[in-house]
Amino acid sequence: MNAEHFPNKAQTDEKADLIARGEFFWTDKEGNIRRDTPPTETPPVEPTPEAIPEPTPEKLDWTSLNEPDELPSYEFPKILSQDEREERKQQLRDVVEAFKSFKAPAAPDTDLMEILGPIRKTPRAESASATVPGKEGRKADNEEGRKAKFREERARTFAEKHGVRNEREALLSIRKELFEEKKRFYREHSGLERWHARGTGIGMEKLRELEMKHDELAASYAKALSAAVEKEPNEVTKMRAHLIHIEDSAIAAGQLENRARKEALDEKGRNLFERALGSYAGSMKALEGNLEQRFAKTGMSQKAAGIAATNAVRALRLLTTTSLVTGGLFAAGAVAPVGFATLFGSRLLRAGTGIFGGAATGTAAGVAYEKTYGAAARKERRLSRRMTVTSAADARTQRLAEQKGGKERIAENRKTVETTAASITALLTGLGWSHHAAAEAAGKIAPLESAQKAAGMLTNTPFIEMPPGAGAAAPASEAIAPPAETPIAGQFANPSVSVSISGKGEGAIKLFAHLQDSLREQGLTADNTLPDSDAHYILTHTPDQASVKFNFLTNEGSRIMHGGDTFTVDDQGHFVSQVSSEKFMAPPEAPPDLNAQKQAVTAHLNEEQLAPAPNEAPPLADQGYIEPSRPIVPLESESVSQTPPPEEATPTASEASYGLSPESFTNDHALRIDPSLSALFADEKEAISVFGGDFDSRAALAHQYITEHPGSHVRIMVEGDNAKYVGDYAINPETGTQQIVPVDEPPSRSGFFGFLGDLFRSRPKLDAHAFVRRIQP
Amino acid sequence: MTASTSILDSLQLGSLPAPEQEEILLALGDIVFRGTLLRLIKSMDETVRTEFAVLLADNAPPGAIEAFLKERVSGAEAAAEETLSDLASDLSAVGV
Repeated sequence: MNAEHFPNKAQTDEKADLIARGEFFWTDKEGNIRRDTPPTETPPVEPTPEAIPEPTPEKLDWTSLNEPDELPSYEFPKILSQDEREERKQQLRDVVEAFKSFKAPAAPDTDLMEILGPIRKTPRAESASATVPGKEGRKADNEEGRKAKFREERARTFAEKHGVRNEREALLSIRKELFEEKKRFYREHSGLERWHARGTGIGMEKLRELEMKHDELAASYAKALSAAVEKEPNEVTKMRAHLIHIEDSAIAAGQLENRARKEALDEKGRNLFERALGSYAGSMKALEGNLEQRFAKTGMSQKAAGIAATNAVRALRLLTTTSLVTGGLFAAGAVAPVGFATLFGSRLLRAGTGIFGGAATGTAAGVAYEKTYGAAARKERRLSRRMTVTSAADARTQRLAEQKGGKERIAENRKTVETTAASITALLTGLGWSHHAAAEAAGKIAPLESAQKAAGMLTNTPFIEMPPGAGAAAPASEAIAPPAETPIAGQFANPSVSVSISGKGEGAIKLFAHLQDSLREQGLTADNTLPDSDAHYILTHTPDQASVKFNFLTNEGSRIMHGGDTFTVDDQGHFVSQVSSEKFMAPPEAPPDLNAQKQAVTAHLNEEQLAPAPNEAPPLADQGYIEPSRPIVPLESESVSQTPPPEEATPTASEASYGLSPESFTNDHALRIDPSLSALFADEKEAISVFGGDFDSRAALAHQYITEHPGSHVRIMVEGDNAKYVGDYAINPETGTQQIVPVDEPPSRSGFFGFLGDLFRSRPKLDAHAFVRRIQP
Repeated sequence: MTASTSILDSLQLGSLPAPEQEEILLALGDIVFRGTLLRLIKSMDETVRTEFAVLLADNAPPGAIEAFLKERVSGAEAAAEETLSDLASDLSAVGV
């Protein structure tokens, strides 16, 4: 231990006084107590003392774990049969064996913060340095509470659905009692007494009794849960039941233990605990900020660097958690170094030192990325340019393909992959692994999503699953897994969720409601789904809104549903439907404006298409199902897009009413514009655009214009939920379907460098203030 | 197979989506971290508590904190061991 790290008495007293009064202070390089705002530059970090002993190779001292019955704390619940007890013993032995297989890492000798200290801090690192540890600790505590609440909600919903609510509530009930007893026990007994009680059981009889009862109820709950999902065809549901059991029992029990211990502390002790938590959280934030800065210096964009840093730290936490739990549990001789070093960030920070030495190992992964994913993205872009766009969703797909296949994006992703693949290898090296072993292991961390992301992240970038040695020199064909969309950090990649119509009287809205429930039951929320995913939309909108969005409720009425029709949200969050009928049933009492729209839009459909088939279910309204009576404006109407509406039905702007709506305005060229009605306009470059009204009326007007003016182009805007897209309206001559063709617009060619304009082509915007005159179709 | 995969397999969670596997691992680590910290603080007398608070307020390097705890808090190593023991007990008691 380096003595200079211990504060002197006078300083200690003064600081203790400030802490007691809750006042902010910091200590400068000379050790003076300062109460002003600290500089953004990190003070040089003291060299890490060499007092941390090298962990000895782990040795399973706690051999009796292999025979759990021999330990008092491993009394199995009496409810279990002999076979079940044997099965549990075997499971425990498996856990022991798994833990034993982990090699306790050796401590490297450089502290990452020493290297990173002089680096200019990022805003994130600055905010970390300005945090007050106690406040950060409370935030960390709140975060834990938030997660616990989420787990509780998920478990409760699951239990209710599978009929094990009573068993679960019995467990929760005894847990309350257990919490109070634990708190009392920890408050009233000294450490020595507790140690004595643990050995003899004297003084903790009631606690022991409650613990046993708790374990019995936990076992009953587990049995009931297991029986409830036994006949479930979906293996994932069974797995989820097991996960909920672990969370609801073991993890909840561990958290209860900690809460009881915290409550048993006096106020000063609790404040100190929060400060320590905050200190740890602050060091993680600082590390993340510094890594971000380092990554950004390698040429990555700030966004990519931020994601890389976040995931690298998360991967590091996972690796060190594994180290902590396994090394600490089963390497008794190495408990202290492994446990303490990890607990207080030392090992974590040290492990990061290798990050900057591993760049070369990442190069191969980067090359592999460009040759495989990069090539795939370019191909996808080429194909997308030829695709028929019939909806906003298609337009979005096309736009994403354009972005993913762009040179800059591919180059940026390659850089990210290089840097982060190297990081993972280096992190392991920093944890004491040999370089060869680390490179091999880097590809084996597949189950750790953060580790995967650290080798291929960014939204829209596929996971990179590296086989052993991929970081060094694996062939490209082996190094890269098939493309798949990647959810962003912290979001769930879930199995698909399907719901079907099982009874008469159910329609699309009910099925969407059912789907919404099922998604929530799987733990999906607005917070952990991609904002532009269908899953997110379904979770954040009412079932009738979802019905409109996915064309089950349109101007034509509501789609007729049959038993067995299925709605699915797949593992990428996309909505997919399997519906036996494509027919719609008009609402019984549609308001006049809806009828007018419906007539306009559906006039072109022949009667056969609209008539219900003989075997169709009765109208949804007859089944007790009430459609909303408001006008419905679909964003994506597949049936409309199949056949462009005829010119005579087009709700174009009438001169008498145009410009009278409240939202009408006069643009920069003194032109009156009415956003509520569709009209054609020309800008200064004579580019024709259709503006105003809904998509269908705009499409009808555009269609009319290009039909009457062969070879002309009309720009049109497609409005999705989160974005707008502008392209040229066109009709596919082979299929007759309408499409929105991407178009680039060169900048103005005026000026000395005008001849370079083609290099800077960009997507056009549809700006009403740029219109100079109206065009009549 | 890495340690993390074998742990997850032994907990019979190998087929779960990766984010949920991660959450379990992080939750286990969090329990150990907090549990050890609480035990350490409970073991500290007033003087040691104050010095520890000052170290935290000074943003002392992790190595210094670690060394401080080992030197000034009696039974520190046992605190970590006890936390881990409790966790193993909780896992086995519920049938994991």
